[in-house]
Amino acid sequence: MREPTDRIREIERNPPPDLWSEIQRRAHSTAVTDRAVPVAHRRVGTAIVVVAAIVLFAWIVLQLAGAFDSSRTAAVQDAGSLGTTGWHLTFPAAWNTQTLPACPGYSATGLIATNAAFTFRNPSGGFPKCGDRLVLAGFPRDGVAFALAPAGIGFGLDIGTFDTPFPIGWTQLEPSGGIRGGPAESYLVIRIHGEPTWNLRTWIGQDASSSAIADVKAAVTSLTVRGAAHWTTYSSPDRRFSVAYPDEWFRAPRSLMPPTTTAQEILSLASYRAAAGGHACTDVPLPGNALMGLGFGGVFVTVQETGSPSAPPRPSRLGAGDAQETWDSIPGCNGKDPVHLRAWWIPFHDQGRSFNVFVALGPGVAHDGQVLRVVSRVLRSLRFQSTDRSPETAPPDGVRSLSCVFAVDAAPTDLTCKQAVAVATRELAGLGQQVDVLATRTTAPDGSAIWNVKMSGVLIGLAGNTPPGTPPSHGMSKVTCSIADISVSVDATTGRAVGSGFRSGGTPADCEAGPGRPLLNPP
Amino acid sequence: VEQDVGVSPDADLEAVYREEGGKLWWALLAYSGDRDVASDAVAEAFAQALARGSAIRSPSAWIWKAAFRIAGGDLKQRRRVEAGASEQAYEMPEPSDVLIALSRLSERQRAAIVLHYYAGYSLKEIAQILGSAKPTIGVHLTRGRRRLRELLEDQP
Repeated sequence: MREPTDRIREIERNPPPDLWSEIQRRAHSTAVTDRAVPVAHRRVGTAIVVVAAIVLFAWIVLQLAGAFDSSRTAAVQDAGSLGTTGWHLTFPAAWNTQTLPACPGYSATGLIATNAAFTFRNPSGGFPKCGDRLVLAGFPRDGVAFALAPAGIGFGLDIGTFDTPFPIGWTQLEPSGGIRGGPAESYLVIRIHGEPTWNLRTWIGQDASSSAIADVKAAVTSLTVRGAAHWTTYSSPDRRFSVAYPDEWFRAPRSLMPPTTTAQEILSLASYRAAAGGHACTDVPLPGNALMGLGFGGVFVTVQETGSPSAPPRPSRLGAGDAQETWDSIPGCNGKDPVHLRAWWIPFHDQGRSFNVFVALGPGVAHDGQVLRVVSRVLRSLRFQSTDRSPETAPPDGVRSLSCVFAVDAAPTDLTCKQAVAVATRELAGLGQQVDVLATRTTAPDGSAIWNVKMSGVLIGLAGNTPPGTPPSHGMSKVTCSIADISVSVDATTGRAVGSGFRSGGTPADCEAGPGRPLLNPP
Repeated sequence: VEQDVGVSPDADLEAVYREEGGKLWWALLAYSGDRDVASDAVAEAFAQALARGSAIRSPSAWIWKAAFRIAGGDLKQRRRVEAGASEQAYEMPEPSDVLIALSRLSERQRAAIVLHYYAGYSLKEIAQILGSAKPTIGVHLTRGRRRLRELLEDQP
């Protein structure tokens, strides 16, 4: 007789369904679970659980006895790798993890890690998929967690601001509205190559211990992402300051300001390549062309050194709340359209030196918390060193206030600051006016020492000719050439005025045609 | 120690599915007597294998083990929920005599018969899949084969 087992192939009578598409759907919509772990592995797992329970019990006993310090023994586990997942971070080995599946069309997966015995689910009760909200009901009050989720394809308005600089500081995370009665939530949209690529979220339970909070902060700081921007530090031994900024920003190699101002620009940073020159129609000296390029999502920061003796002490944050002056637009000069922005201006002194800091944000990022946090971190990173020598404050005749900046060490034979200012201002003699002067000692390209002496508010004179078609005003001649900001370069060794002043206001023809003297104008 | 938690979709796994998916589904159908259980177990086992990526050295063996474990879990859950309403099994267009006879065996006998005589696994491999000892599997096979012969001989 035929063996019954010979008929076993009769079970193939019913055709099987094609399940491949279902398999792919599940692979992208479910986390790795132990549902499929073979029985033998489960037995090993059971043994591990038993051993772990014993170890845990012993640990609790030791904890209660006060003989155990978790901070010294906490092991750390690595997760992800830049080669496969595109990210890498570390967190305590004892934390529970869930994989966040890749978004459609992407291969990178994310991760949730928590110190709590808590499974994150979406509102439908399933494991979270790309873009799913996470349900936090039941999250322990003493728990902490973070999630690094693939951002997928964004369909919202992308203002195209700069990439997220790494390492991420805790202050870069934006607190969300929070979850009533639940953990405090913060988030950061991580941009790589201009695209929102990852969403980082953290949760801290209301009763979380300080060590648990430190763990989640350390995990955030440990995060690295493939293709990410980083912080870079710039130090200027000449200007005697340092600053940290995202390496995707542009630092102007030289001053963007026209050489007509009373303040000396020592730093300009922008999220775009800012152009030099141009006047901004403001009552403070600003580089107009740089502001014109701000655009919708740009960020511009400039720091100027001044000789102002009355600047207040440096505020802790240099934020908009500390500003002496703020703008929501800057009028365009010469008929140009106004520049819409959010900007603030803060004069302050630090290390015996006086500065102005000016920050401008494009309207698209004006109130973007994550952008503001990066800007704040840049401003807080500014470190100034005191000048080596005390400024000579006794002004020459005709000089109302004098500030001297010794950018390089002076040779014994050099002119003193006071002498250089006297040379630069001698053409003002007889005009009977008092001017504010900022003198800065620098090194010329040929190695010679130069005093740059800048005078503001110099009265040149009144031009008597009125342009054709312009009615006289109150019977007075039209003032077409009146106030100038003058800059003179003085060779510190020879005492010669090697540069010449620059006049602003009116045209050379206006001034030359009138009684006013075109002092120190270029030939 | 670097923990790679990434999904790395493996095109080779689709080849495994095309080659063995049908056979696995039939084996699970014979084991569980339920198309839905068989389909769920196949889909879940392959999906989990995809999610684990290169962490699995031998995908075919792993998937067979995983699928039988998943199907076993589904059957256990179904028994708990439906309290013995197992008559739902074999509601299919063409229930063969062998399938009907298999349904009369114990779950362990059924699994051993299917894995050995249909899928071609050795006793040692079946013991690993079912989490049992090799001699126990031998007993299940002997008794299951004898019972199956009786059931099929009784049929007209």
